Amino acid sequence: MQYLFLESSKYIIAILLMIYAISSISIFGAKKTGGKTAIAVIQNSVNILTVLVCCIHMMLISKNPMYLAVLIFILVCVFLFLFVTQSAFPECNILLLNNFSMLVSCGLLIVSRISINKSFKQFIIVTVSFALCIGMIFIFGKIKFLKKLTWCYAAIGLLLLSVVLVLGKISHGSKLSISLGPVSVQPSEFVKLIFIFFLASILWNELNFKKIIVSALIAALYVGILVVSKDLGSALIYFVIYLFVLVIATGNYIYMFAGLIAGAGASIIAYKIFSHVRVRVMIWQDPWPYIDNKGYQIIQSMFSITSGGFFGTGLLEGTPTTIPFADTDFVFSVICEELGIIAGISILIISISTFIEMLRVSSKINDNFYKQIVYGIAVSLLFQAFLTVGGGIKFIPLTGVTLPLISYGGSSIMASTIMYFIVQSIYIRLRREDKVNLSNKKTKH
Amino acid sequence: MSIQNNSNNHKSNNSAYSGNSNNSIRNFLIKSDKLTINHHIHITIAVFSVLFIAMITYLVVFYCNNKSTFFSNSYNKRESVLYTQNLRGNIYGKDGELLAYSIQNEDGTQTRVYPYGGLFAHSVGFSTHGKTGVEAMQNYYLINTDNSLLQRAENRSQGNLNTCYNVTTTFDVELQQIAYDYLGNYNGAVILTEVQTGRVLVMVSKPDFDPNYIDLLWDQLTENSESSVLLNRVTQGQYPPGSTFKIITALEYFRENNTDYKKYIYNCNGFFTVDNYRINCFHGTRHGDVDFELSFAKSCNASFANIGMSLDRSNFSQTLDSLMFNRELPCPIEYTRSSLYISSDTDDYNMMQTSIGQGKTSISPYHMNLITMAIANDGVLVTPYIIDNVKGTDGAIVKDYASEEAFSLMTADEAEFLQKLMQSVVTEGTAGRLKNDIYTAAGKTGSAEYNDLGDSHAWFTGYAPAENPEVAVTIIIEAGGTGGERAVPLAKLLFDSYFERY
Repeated sequence: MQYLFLESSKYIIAILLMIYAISSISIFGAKKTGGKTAIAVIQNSVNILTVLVCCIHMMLISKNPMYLAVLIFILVCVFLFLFVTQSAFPECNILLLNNFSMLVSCGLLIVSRISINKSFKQFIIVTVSFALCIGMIFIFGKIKFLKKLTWCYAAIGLLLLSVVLVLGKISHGSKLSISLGPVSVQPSEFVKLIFIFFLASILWNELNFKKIIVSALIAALYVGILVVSKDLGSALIYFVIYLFVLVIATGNYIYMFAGLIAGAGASIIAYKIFSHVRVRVMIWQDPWPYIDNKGYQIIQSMFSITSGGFFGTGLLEGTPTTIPFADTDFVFSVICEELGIIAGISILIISISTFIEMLRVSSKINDNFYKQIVYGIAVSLLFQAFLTVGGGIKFIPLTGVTLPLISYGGSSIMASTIMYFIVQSIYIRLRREDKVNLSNKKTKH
Repeated sequence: MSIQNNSNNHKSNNSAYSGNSNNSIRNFLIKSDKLTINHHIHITIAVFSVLFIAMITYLVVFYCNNKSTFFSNSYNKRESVLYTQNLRGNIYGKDGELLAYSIQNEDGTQTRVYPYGGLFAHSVGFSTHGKTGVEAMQNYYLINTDNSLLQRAENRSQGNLNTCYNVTTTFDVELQQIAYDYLGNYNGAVILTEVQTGRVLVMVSKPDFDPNYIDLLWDQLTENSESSVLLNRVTQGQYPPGSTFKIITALEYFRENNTDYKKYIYNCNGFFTVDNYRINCFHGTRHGDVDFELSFAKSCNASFANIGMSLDRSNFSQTLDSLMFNRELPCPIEYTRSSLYISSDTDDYNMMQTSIGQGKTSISPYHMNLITMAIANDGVLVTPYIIDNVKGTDGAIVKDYASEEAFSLMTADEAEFLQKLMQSVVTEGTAGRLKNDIYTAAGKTGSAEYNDLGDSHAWFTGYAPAENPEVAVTIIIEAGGTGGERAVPLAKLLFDSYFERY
């Protein structure tokens, strides 16, 4: 029985993830509230079952009882996310919440496959971030000055990025993080959010050409600092956020084309000036001559993706740890190797589902400030997923960013969690106001 | 400070309405469906959806295209995991003879067994210390299992390894053995192919080694680079072609003179001179008056040096190009390109040397066989292959191989011209030992001198039957002597055995 389970668990996991992925898209077609509730129940069951099957599989393979602890803490997480949030805020967005829980669960499972210690740290960071976010939802509706902090956002963001540029630790050629006592923080993850707030606060009303130019200059400054810090992935994400938010603010695609042309020009200049940019492109074009050094990562990642097949080798039964940074930049390759390509595609579909839902929320908001924030967050999360997955499979040059909510890394997971819950906060406010409006109308009649 | 601009005084009412959530969810959702469409948001969704669909498609295609090649890359360590789960599959000869299989040891490891020892050392190859031959080509199937879920569970519970796909090659064990035995202690190479299908029946390279003991032999094999035992001389060996090259010189002459070749006549005194350079016929033989056909049949060096001098050197270069000299060859395993450069700058001496197959030319027996196959098949080369099929453990064929492509190396007229010349080599020339009553053969011998003492490698390349060619054979025996005396008898043994059975 045990052996039958070990042989079949990978198929079960793939099917579960596929069911979840399909449900996360088909929920948009569900007309009735009842249908959506049913889908939500399926999603929660699939989430818990996936965690169970994965942990039992790892326990049987490794004969390490610590995976029981992993199982318990992931279930605690799921319980916290789903039950506590819904009890405290019945108006919360169920699909976003379910997707959040599913992605965080998958992340914890994959990280625990690489290192139980790391997954435990990840668990602590996730719970702390979650607690912060619950507090944030409570106070979010009461803060009134968010729109007025335009220059604060710009200054704080630029300051933080400059600090990294000057004081940052150089790890693997780029300056990404600064040390605060025992912990190392990667500010660009958080500044992303500040950047979105800055854009929304400058572009939300009374738009004129001067404002657009100012926003473009500040955005160029952000991106420029990141390029000089060699954090190319973040630079690209900031650039794309800016382009999309600008279009939603102005409703004019000329800005996007202008931005793309400026971006292309800047890329060519960066390519000419910075050797690290050239190296990235060169390795993307043909990594094989550099298999012993610069191309090693990407080639190991490619081996990893092609070695698991559609259903994967089974957790702990592959060798994804041959990829340097398997748990951060190449976590998608680990998923493909051990859980299979179907699981990998399912994770992508869940990310797209989150994106669509966030944009739906954004489309319902009348206040441009919050509309643009939700929109910016959605673009940021999905584009980051695109960069890391596309980089790991050599679809695009490697940029070295994390897969939101899944990759190991305190700053990344905390920033992504906050992003999800800012959208939740805005959504909850929207729902509450909506109810007020309805009741106002009723009383008028 | 409200998200919806038209709502006032909402803060005081928030708590009052948060209790009855079910109704409000419904109201909200109904209302949300009626909200006006935000075009830009839809476009954003479309842009990212296209981006992700492209990426997912790329991922699947990338996986399907690369899974087996990446798997066999020496930097990919994933194979070691599979060896703890799966027992490497079997390799069979054409008629089901077991050429390689694996046994599971008590400690769970596995050992590869090659029942025929060194007979297929290069063609089937080995699977530790890197992989060669069939073991390398079919590595992906050989180490992946097709066992069902229940079987795998049972194997896992009993500590057994799963069984893998099995590979059937095109090799004919009987013919392979004949060639192997004939070469004996001589170094050399033999390849025999079916000209109409491209199947390789024989691929022997000497010196050989016993792949059963590859682990023990490894240091010795790699240390002794001079004898290059590991080299598959069929595809990687580079030899001076000797008189077999006259096929190519003849082809070029035909291309330049077409029907005029019939008027060709030359009086051979046993040598040919231009300026101070002198070309001797083999062992100084005087051939007297020879026409084109007889020059070829008797392999007259003086006449062919004379023919070579008449050729346009840049045209010749094009012909060499069309015959894949200095170029990639269609070859299923590792090989070395043949090398020969002729241009309008080539001097007379080199031109004469090249015309008779001496000089700087080097060619692999495999390449010579490709040219012979094309001649035998009216100019069309059906590219060779050595894997017949891959079968699942239940015996069902999961992958069936055939020749990958067929293309023309020369026109049917040119092939017919060369066929006649090669028949005359058997009927009235240097390959007389192939004359018999059962089948007719055609070919060209060669005795490629490799030192100043007149010692030579024995070549033969040819096909049979002459009327409707089925198989082409190419033989080289290093330091074997003359092609007619040493290589032709092996061709006869192989043809005899082939036509006895087919």
